[in-house]
Amino acid sequence: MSVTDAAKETHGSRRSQWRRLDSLFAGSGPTILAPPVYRGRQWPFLALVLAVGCVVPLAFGGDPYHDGLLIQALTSAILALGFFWCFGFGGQFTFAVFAMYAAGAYVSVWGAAHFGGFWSGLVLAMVVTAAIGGLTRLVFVKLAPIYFAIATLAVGELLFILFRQWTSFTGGYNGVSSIAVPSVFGFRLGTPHRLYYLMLGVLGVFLAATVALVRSPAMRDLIMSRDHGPVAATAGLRPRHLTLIAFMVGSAMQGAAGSLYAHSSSFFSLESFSVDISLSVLLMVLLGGMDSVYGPVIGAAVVVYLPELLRSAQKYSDLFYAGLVLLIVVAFPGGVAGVRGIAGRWIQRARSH
Amino acid sequence: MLEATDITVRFGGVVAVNGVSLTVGDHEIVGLIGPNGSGKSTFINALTGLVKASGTVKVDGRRIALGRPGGVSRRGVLRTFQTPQVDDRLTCLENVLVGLPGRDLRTLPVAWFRRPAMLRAERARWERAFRALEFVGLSRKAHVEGGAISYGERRRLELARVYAGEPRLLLLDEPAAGLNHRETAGLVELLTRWRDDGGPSLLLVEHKIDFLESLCHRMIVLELGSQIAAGEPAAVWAEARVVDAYLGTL
Repeated sequence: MSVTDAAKETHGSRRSQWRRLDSLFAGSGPTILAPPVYRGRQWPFLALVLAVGCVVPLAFGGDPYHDGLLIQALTSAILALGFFWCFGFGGQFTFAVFAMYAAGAYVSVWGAAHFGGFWSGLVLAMVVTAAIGGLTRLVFVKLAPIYFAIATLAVGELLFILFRQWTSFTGGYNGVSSIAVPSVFGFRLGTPHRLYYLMLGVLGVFLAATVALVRSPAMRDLIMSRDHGPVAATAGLRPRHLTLIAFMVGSAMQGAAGSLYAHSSSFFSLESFSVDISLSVLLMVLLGGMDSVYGPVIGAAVVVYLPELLRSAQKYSDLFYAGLVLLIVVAFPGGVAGVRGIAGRWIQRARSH
Repeated sequence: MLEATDITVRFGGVVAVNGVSLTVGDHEIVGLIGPNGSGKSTFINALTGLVKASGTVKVDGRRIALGRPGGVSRRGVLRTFQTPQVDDRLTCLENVLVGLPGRDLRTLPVAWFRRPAMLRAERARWERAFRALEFVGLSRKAHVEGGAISYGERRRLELARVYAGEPRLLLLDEPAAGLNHRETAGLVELLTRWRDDGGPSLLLVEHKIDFLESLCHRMIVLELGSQIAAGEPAAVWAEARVVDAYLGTL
């Protein structure tokens, strides 16, 4: 061993000694102990996302058609976030999304008419859809996930039949047209622009609720309950209780999306709701990515805007669309939200060769 | 502490556990042994409600409903599994945090509306979970994901989780399975240290005989789902049927 080697070694060991000493002072401190999730910058990022959301209409809005797309993207984002709570957090796939959406819309319109305005309608819609979701979950709690998914499809279709037959409540295919216009502190939100900001606010609150869960002990209890139910139970958790709550919150968000859809329309009917909605929400969440709370938002934007971008391709647009979806699903299993990580790995690999 | 009477488990036509009874007293260490397929793990699964069973289980004299997981865990009876059950994507520290007792201040409403109180409780919890990792010698891996550690470390991680749960009775399902000689010795040392520290009563399911002898006060031997012997380790080994069950007729 040469002298320089030895010097290097002592230097290295001294440095590690310092590090050890350093960690003696700082190491037992709670900040060092914080699990990685608390060290992320989720709150600033949420603020950034909402700030971007605030300026988006200035770039994309303007005429009624584009305003309509913006509003559609936001309702879809809220709906997809609700599905994300059920599927991603609660671990339960549900086909009943479209029925929750419809139930939210009808209950909200009725509630707004009877209990003084949009806000009570929204709250009532969320309570009712949470109850329906929770009840579905409770009744079918013993089913394996795939059978539970089928059960939710049946529940969704049953609700749809109910809405079709109960015309005094829903108007059936003739629809509802006397819908309360939302207002905030007496300020009427009659224009698409204002409705956009109302929805952005609701989405912001829901995203904040999601981030608050992710940065909390409830999230790891939920992960354990979702992925290792029996183990979690023997460790003293209540796995069914926890996943049920996630499912109910998700259902309530789907109901809220329906309520916002209803109150941003001057007219809607049963034709607005079909099981296709459930499928496209699934597509949104898969495209956006299951690993990020922004996955549903990104996915909703992609699903709403991609057909627009492909318009110039005219008759090939469907083909492009299907191809793009396949590409994302195959090449980026983490969805659009996971692209950064995968691309980073590609670049790293290319550099190392 | 634990009183199980006449536990029977049927899988279709097969009787996996046939009327087995046992008690574990405070600070007692009981071994449950038997050849493969003798129903040891099934018995533990029945006690913890993971499989349907008949019979009665009492913890501190209170009857626990069978067939429902979580019944005994809320009375301070925790367990480990034959293959260590930890989450691959949670860090080691988080895997331990899940096992800490105390359900309040970690619910969803608290995460939404009482964040300062939640975070204060969280900090104390990190500390406790870290102590548990230190106890099993895994503190250096606190922020490593559960999927990235070795098999032996996963065993210790699972042990840290139940250690953090402050059990009064711990059911260990083949805790030394898949461990080499040195790791097994480390496990014995760990359990001894915990016992001397006022640790929980233990019900040990094991194959490794030396492992049991060094720890157990009493042993119960199962064969084909039924109890064939019980008593102090030396007396149990003296019984011809036990030797037959283990080594075959000589």
